[in-house]
Amino acid sequence: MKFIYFLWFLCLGVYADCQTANTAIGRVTYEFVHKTNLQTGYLHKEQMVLEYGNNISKYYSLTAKLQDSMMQQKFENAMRNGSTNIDLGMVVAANKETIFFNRITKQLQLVENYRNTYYLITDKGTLPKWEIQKNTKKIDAYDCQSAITNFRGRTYTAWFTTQIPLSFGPWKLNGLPGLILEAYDANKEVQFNFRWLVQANNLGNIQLPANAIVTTEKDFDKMKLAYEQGAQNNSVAMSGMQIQISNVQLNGRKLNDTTFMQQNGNPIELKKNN
Amino acid sequence: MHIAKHIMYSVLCFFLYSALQAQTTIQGKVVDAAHQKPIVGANVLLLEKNTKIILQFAITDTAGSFNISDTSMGRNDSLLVEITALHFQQQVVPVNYFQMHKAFALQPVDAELPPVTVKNRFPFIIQNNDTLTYRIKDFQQKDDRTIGDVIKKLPGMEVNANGKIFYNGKAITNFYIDGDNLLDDRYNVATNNIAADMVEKLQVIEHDEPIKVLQKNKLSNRVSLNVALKDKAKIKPIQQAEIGAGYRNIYDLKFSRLNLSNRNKAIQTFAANNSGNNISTDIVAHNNFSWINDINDVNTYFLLDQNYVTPPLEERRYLLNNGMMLNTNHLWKTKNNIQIRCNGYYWNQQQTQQYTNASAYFLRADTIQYITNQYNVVNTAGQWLNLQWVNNNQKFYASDQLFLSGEQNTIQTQLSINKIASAQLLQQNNFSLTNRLYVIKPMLKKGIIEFTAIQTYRQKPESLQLNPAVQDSIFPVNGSSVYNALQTIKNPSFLSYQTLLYRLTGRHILQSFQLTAAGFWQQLNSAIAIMPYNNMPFVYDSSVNQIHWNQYQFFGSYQVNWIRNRYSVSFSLPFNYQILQFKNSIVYTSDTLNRNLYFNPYAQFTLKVGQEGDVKLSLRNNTQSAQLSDLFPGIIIRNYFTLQNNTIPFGEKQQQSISVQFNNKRSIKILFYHVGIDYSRQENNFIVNTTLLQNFQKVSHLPYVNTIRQFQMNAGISQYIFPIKTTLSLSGSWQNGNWLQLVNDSLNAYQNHSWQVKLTAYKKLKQAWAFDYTCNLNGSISKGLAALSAYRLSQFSWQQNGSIHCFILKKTDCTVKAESYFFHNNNSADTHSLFLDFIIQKNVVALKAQLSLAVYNLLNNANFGVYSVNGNMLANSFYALRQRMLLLKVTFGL
Repeated sequence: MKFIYFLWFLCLGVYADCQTANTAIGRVTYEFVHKTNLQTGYLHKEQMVLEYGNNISKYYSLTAKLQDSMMQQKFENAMRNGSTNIDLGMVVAANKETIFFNRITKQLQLVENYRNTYYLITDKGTLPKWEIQKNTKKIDAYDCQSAITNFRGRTYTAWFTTQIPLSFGPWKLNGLPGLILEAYDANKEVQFNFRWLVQANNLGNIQLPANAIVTTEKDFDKMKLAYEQGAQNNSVAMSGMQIQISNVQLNGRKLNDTTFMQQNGNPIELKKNN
Repeated sequence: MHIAKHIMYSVLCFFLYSALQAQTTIQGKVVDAAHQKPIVGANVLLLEKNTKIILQFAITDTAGSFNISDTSMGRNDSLLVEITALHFQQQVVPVNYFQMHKAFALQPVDAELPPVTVKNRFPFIIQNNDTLTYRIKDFQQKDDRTIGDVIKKLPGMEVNANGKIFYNGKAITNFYIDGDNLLDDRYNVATNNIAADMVEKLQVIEHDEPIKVLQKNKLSNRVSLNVALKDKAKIKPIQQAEIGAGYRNIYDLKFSRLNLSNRNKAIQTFAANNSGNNISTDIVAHNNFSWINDINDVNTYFLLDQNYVTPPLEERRYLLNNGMMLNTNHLWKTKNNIQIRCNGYYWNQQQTQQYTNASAYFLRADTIQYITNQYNVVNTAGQWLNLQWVNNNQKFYASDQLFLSGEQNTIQTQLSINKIASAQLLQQNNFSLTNRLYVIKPMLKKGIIEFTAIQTYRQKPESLQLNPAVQDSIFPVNGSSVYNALQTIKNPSFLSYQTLLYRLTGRHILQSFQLTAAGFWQQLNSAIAIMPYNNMPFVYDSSVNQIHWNQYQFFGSYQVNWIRNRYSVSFSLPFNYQILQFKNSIVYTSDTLNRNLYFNPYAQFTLKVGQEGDVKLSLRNNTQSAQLSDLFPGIIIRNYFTLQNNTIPFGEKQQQSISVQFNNKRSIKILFYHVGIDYSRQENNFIVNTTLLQNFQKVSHLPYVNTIRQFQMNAGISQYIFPIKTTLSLSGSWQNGNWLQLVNDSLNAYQNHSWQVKLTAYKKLKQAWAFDYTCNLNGSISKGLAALSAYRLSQFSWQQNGSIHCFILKKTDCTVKAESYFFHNNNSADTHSLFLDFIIQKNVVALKAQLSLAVYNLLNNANFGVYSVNGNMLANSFYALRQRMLLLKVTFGL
């Protein structure tokens, strides 16, 4: 009998979760600052967005989001028009990684949209273990308190607010009893600064892309490195008539060699585990 | 309720036991007071009573349990426990609560997080619905001179060699300057001239819909760019000059002036060069689109030509030109959403061509050869004026466009054919006046109705003079074998086209219904005047055409696209009822009237295979009816080599085709491959009859049903080879076709096999250094069938391109290019050519200028030779090329 109660309990819980699990109720914009090159001190800056619902959050670059919807559209358009040519090449510029975090299952999943294809990678590294500090400050209308963690090779300080009682945060930083509005590492080489927050009843759905290719971080990195070292996507999309190569060469200048993402020198993650 | 109590007690008992274990550990469970189910992910905070500072926290797990352990917890009475969870009432309790109770029941509340917007500082890229805004100063670098230089560096943007801009691989549709569409897709003039300093921000507008009534429907998939200017750019005109000079009196000039105030905008450019830059393509329209594509278009081509084929080379190598171009664009805005726009250009260009061609036709009995030498002086001029009025408001959209365009060609040819010297003077004029009215109105909930009306009047007078004519055997000239001939043509036409389109959009299905009525009235008046050297001139009787051609078309079509996750289906069902009146006042006494109903369906099925592959099947049936240019009984001298008349009453081509294509990839392995098959069958109710005479050919159409079959296979594979860090691609295709040819009264069947193999390799050497190589092998064999089975012609060509791109001396852009061409056939000697180019380019920050130095054709090739095979014909052509050229260019703002 009790066992049946228990089952009923469980079902109710699962059902309740499904109702609202995917609806985004808030969107935070962070300015992501990254000292990508320690010699030159070059600071890469990018606008990142954290969308959160009751249970899951999605962290992405604004540019990447546009590319997501864009790519979907390109294929749909081609189908509609019966087009013989879809350009599969694309310019790699901003952070293309989308990070999904489920605060219930504690699962961290990365979706990489690389050259118009989605790859789904489950992050097997450990999650941050926080030590609460007594420092408080106000970020805009929010009372925040700090916490520190040693996470993946850096020591981060995070400022979170319990006014939004959800354990989400930028990048892979999560697990505090409130939303993280600001975070930075001890050397200020990686910073997530609060810029903007919108809350509403329904800001759209948070969903993993349907057609993502499941792979491992190792295979994905190998492929990515190959493209960085000049591999070309000579895919003959759809027709076999036109070969479209969209290389990142623009007047001989690689798009990301000056302005964007020189991560080789100083990656965010210095090691996989704490 | 009884059940809930039951569970509560059991839970309480469990926690009471665990709480007794240690004072420094708080354990418990959080449940929903309404349903008694565990709350997952609730925050349990241990606070200092006075300061409300969090000392420790825990987040409940899937069973709703939590555990806070802290040895430095201090005295219990100075602490509080706060429990918060989304959609539940926050609760605060003293710590010693745990010694009594071990579960919290939180009261659910309806309240969500309060709707707020908190803005801190302006970010450098912001997204607002479909608009992405880049703040230019965050992306601009020291050596970026124009907005074009910056656009190349923006994330997601790409600019190709012609200046065409892509956003995430998709070509942009419009280029707005401060929200105004001044240039449509001819935006090079803006990207190359507007200084980066003048721009505040750049906006990418996805789903760009400039037509306000359509904005609700969100049907648009266009991406457009908007350049928002700084105030200082709006006050003073922006001016820029580009001056290039080179060895052997080469010059290349460009001057532009932009006036970009809020109400009115204007851009003017002037360009002139003799450096091989084709002046007529300088104003590039990046998205060529056609207004009329569902009925047979007005024939805009000339009937006469100069008998010259351009070589398969980059135009710059053989274009020996001298030309100038003037281009002006204005836009005026009034209140009430009305815009008036005017774009115009004028260009003229002189060009010289030197060309030698040896063609051999292998016939049953003998071989006929023609050796032609041409020296051409080509003078062309063009004018274009576009006046547009647009009323774009919330309820409807209306625009009216008036086009005036003119083109004048004068081509003087000094020629010899089989050692007979002659001169040809070809003069062509094309003048057209077009008006296009376009109205859009939303209808019902998800429907849109569009109306288009186009009226075009066109005049195409042409004349061709041969001094003397080389066709001595054809025209009856009494007592004189030497004479001049003058061909004149007048071909005025008027087209009226009206179409009504209703579009309906659903989630997975898109439908459109279209009704069109079109009338096309055309005349062809032509005659040949023969002017013997020692006799009176006269008009050759069999050359006179006085044709009236009236064509009426009624067109109805239904199109549907059905898109699902794994497959999509689209088909189009167009019916076209056509009435044709053909009246020739000279040859035929009675009118010819033709009524026909055509049905040209098209279907396409796409199915996803596996995770990354797809199969596509396309089927098409298409019937094309004859045009006036296929139907003139009087002889026309098309050029010094070709006389043509077409006597069959009504020619028709019916084509069926089927194609299957499979594409697959393994993204993670960087492997891509595809295989495809196409088959097409075309049935013509006429055949081209060619009579080869001593110095010229006669061409006419004869009624004879014949079929052309073509089969094609293609396959390709591309793979990145990880160990050698190089992308290799190999693709190939093979074609096989059968057709009939009627030459000198003998009907011959031919079979043609041709194949292409393409190999490319690309390797990046260092940061921004790149090497790429392409090799193209082409072969074709033409075989006679039946009685001609001994006959066989083959040809082979090998083309290689290689380039190295690098940076030298602090961001100096440097390119070295090599091209090699090799042609072989079994009847003549091989030809081989090699080209080398060298280009170096640098932005000089101090001078706000760009410097470039280019050396083209470093090996100073004077000629280029090429072979081609077609049926029983083998041609060998030589072209004079632009010799070594050195060009130094400087571009700067004024």
